[in-house]
Amino acid sequence: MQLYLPIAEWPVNMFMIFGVGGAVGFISGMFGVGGGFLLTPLLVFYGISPAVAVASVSAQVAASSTSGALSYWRRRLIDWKLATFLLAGGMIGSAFGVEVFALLRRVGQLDLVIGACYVVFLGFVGIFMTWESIGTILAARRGVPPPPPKPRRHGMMQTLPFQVRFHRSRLVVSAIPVVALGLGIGFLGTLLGIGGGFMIVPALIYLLKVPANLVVGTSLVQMVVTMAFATFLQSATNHTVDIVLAFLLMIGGVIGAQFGAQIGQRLKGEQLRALLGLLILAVGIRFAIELVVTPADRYSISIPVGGGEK
Amino acid sequence: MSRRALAATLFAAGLLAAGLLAAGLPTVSARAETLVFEPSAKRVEITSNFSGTTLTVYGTVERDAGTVGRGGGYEVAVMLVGPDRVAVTRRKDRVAGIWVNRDSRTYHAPSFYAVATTRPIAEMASPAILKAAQVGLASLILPESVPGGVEVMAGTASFRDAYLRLRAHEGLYAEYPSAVRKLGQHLWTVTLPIPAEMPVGRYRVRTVLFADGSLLAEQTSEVEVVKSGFEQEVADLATRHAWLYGLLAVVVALLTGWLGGVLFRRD
Repeated sequence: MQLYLPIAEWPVNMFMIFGVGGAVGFISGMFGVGGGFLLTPLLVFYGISPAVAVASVSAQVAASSTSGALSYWRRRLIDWKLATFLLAGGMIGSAFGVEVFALLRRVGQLDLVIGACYVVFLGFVGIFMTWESIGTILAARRGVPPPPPKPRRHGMMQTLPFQVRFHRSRLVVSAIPVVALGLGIGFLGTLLGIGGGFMIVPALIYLLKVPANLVVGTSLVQMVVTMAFATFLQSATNHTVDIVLAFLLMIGGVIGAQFGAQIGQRLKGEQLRALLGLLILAVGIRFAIELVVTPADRYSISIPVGGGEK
Repeated sequence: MSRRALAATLFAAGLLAAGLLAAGLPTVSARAETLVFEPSAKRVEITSNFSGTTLTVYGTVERDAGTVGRGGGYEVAVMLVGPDRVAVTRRKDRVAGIWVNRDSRTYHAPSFYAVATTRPIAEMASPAILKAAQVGLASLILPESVPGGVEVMAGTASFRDAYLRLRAHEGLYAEYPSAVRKLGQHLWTVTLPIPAEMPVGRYRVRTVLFADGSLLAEQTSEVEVVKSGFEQEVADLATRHAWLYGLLAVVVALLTGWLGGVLFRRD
């Protein structure tokens, strides 16, 4: 069924969008990530302008993270103080991201920067995740017991000023790396149209040494608020949130996530991480190929923001 | 509304005819033809299930009593021209192994341009006359500016070609040679396809009459392409009350997420 999107000004097949939302929702439910890093490129590939895709996916990620965050809230698996510190940075990063997004669009380098960021971040996280999880799987095969948990020493993290105690996580670290992390994720998330769950989860585990049971819930809270804020900012400054598109993606995503979660529960943590790592790596490689291979058409047309007669 | 537009069109037609007569005094008898036409709709409404439509234009060539019929017959070109928009055409070049957008040209050009004719365009008149009449993609004048904002009238051929090619590929620029059917000696009709991707705004329907390779008459009317109903309300809200729309989008997202969590509660 053909549906005309009011903001994207683009006709789409309703079931196609539904299906894309569902498929990405399946993956996000299975791995516990937002799935924005898959959704935005898919929408752009389908003909929706990057500006509208990025902004509308923010709304979708806010919705899908809400379900997850509520479930963790009921189980009291959220460090609210840590989330608040991350959010303080996240808001600033998000506001900054919207500005840079508009600037890059004006000078025509948005696609390049988005492409390059995908290659760098997805490539890095993908390789790291795949490497770490395959190592764990192989070690388990050989019957080697998992390495004992490292002592909780943070080195530099403990020498920086503004030491803050996070009771829930039983953690004392400087506020600087926490706020900086939130800022970085908020900025990249808004710029690239992703929630950034695949970046913030490893960062909380490996950099800040937050207990694993609190990591997902806390990062989901950070994602809900940052993405809701990004949705609002994109609406207010760029008018690029297509509420119809976002709603279709949300419905597809919520349903897909249920099936994904059921499959996900049957797999071991390291198997899930290996699969997710490979998936992230594959998306990163696809973007790398696009940057390097001679394009089919060297020319492209873009409509500047506010350049149209409405 | 439509009656008023028709009246305005007829008035404009009168002015145009008078202008043509005044301008071409020595050849009054040769320029006594006028074009009269009417598009099938004055308003194309884009609703949520809009998947493209067609616009039919009927017209006739009118001759005053003193004019002798032409041996070669008439040729008609019908154009649907969208509102002007700014479009940046960029070219990628390889920099350190990576393809990067480098050079660009900015066009202030119609967002939509479809032309249908009774004969292949090049056979209707000389390139100079076609250019003056703005008939055919090859004749289209595209004011162009280079980065830095300097406007040049004679554009860069490679960028112009790429712009026209990409627009044609999107279905926004099209030529339909021999698509205008002659129903008799003077009556003609054409059905122009309107793609779902067409931008909204005021469109001009231009008709041009040729005979023996010269331009005899020209006539213009307007068609409006608007979003309607729900599409219109959403678009209005997003631009006029951006803050409210943003809040609404956030509420929709949070509510949907919450509802999803409640419906599929797993714990």
